[in-house]
Amino acid sequence: MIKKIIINIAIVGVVVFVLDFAIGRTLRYFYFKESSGQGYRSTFAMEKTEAAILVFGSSPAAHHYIPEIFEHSLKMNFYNTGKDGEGTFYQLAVLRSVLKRYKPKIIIFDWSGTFLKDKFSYDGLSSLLPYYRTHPEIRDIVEFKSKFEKVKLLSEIYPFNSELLTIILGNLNLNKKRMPDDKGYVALYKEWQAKIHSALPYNKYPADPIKVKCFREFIIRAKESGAKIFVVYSPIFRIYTVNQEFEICNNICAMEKVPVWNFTSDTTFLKNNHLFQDIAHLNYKGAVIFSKLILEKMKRVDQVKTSRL
Amino acid sequence: MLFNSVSYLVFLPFVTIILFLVPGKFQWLWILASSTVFYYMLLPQYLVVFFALIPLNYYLGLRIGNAGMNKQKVFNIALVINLVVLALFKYSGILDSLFDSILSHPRSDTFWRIILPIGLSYFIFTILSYLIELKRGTIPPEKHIGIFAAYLMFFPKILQGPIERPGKIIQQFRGDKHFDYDRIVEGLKIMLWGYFKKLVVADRLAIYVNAVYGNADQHNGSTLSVATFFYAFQIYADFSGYTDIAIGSAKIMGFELTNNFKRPYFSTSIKEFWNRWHISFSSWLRDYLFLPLAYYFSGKMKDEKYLGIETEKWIFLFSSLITFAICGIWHGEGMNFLVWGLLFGFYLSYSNWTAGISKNLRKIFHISKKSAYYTAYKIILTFLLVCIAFVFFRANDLDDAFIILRKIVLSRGEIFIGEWQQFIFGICGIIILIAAEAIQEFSKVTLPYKSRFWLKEQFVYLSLLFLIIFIGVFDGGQFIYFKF
Repeated sequence: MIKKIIINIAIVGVVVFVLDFAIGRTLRYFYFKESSGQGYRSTFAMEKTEAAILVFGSSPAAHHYIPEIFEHSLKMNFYNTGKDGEGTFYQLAVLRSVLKRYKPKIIIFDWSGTFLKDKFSYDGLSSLLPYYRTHPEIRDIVEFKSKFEKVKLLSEIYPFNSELLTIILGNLNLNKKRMPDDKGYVALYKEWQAKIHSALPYNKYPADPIKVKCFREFIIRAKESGAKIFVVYSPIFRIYTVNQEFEICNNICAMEKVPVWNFTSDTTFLKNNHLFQDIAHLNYKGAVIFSKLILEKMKRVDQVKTSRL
Repeated sequence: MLFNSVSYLVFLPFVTIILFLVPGKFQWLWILASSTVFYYMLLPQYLVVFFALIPLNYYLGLRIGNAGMNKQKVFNIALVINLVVLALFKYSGILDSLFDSILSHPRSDTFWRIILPIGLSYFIFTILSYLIELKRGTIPPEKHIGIFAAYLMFFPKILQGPIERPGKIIQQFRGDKHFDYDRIVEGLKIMLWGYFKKLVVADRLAIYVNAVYGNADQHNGSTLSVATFFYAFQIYADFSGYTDIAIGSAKIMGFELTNNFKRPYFSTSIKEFWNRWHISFSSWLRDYLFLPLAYYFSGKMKDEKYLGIETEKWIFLFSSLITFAICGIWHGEGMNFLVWGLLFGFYLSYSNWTAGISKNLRKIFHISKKSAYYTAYKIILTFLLVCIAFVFFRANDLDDAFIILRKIVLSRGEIFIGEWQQFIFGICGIIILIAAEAIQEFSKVTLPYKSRFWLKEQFVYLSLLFLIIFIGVFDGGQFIYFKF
């Protein structure tokens, strides 16, 4: 009886191990072979880009900064690492991977996250799982996800959980037709029709110390790399009164002497719903205006510095 | 500790191995200790409530069993004490609002705000069924306080049931639990199916449902219809998945728990639905509420007819409406839960009152009750009625529920897909779930699945395991019914 049990357990163990290994490795191979889509853009940002200008942030970053405008004027190459639904954890992980390889000249950090301790932000770390094994510099960030992440990552399939369709599309090049990107920038073309509303009043909350620490680390690392760093609050089609997020962010940036540009109350955008695709995202027309405004501000900072010298 | 956590996958084997090593007469002690640790890891501060109720009800149980003429009086006291404790925690929101209005400003401190300890409802329902059975004289009082405590605290069922009847389970805590390979494999297979339902179906659908119901005002009727359809499968997969994990865990240790679900979406009537949905709770309501109410009304209504309608129908109407109103109120303090309950009471009464008309119509149109088309029609109709009721269950409040229903009926438009992968995986999960249940419903296949062909059986379970790793949601939250 005991012999039968041991044999059965051994068979199940071996079959599970072999299948997990074979399927996981196949998925890994095709994941890193993707030539379009969000997974591809993450890989490119972490492992390949050598652009002098880098944009970091979540969806507003991905949809608001047009490479051509910056490249043409500054004569430097540009990559937009912005990714939908990602917060500071992802952005810090990408920055660490980038700085391991080279030092960019300009870093634009489009901040639209939250310092609230929410489950959603930690769940978002899933997108970094495929890089856990090959990028030791981001492991401690991935482990914020849960205390058992190391155990789960013993599985070869787990890092690619729910990624099957993305991997197929990324390899079939369908993403290029569905949602093409230009050096990480993804253009939006619809126009927002609804009227502007006021944001709900903010209730003060205790900030998540891990998020605050990561945000601070991002700013310090970027600064110490020798790059010029600018923190930007992208336009949003909503009227704000007080925002705790910005307060925390402003304090850290002030301490580190990093310029912060707040466009949330810029009337160029607040008065023009047709520049938005939805409340939080500018469409292409809006992105052109916004990119030019950012460019002007960057140039002005340079002029001030030069005149001071 | 949650069933869908890695800790539980370590906890269960550890507890099981030690259980088999402990001598039979002390196994209850190990079960009680491990169940206490299980709950402690979730909500340590509320253990005191459970451990206060155990000796109290143990003592009251002994008194009921030995009270003779005073049985009813002691029973009433026990009933009131338990219901007051439940109400105090369950409707603390109302008490909080009351305090706030007396103080004329909301209190900022959260210390004095009471929350419902997870599992307290199920714990008290189990106690009540013990006390009722004692009063009816169907079981003797449990004299061993340790076994009584282990029966109430048993970790696979403490958080979300099944609500076990004492006659069936208490004796199981006396038996010697030992290693049984086939039973353990069977338990693991049931657990695997439960994890599939929770991680692949429920938690995947939850992403879409929460996105839509969380911003119901911004979505059209088409999207809300899809979200409601998804919610029906989400709540079923969530709850029945939990039950499967509970049953499987208990089986591994040598305990048999009641199955709570029997493919409810294949019901051909609302009555049948409630015989297949949350069975331990619905049979609890039937035996301890509906039937006593019906008995009470039949004693009061002596005439054959009232307003030209048979008394039996009136009795059914009153008993159903009261039973389901209480069922609704038990689920939450919001009016939407009351309406949800009343709606089911209404469905059942309508079906009861019009049974004769339906029969005549079938005769006129020569429709056989056993016809496949008629069965399919009844299954779909029942499912739709259940979905309508679920709008009240899922909505934030009654106003929201009516707005959602109005939109579903009147407003059409493009369906919001959200993240298309979530949508596709959600649909895949539903298809697999329906297919597996259809096979069980219309063939002799039972759970856990067994085949004459060893390889085929192993392939099915391996596929389930890999589907979980492949498309399961590992960031999902707790189970829906924890809040009840």
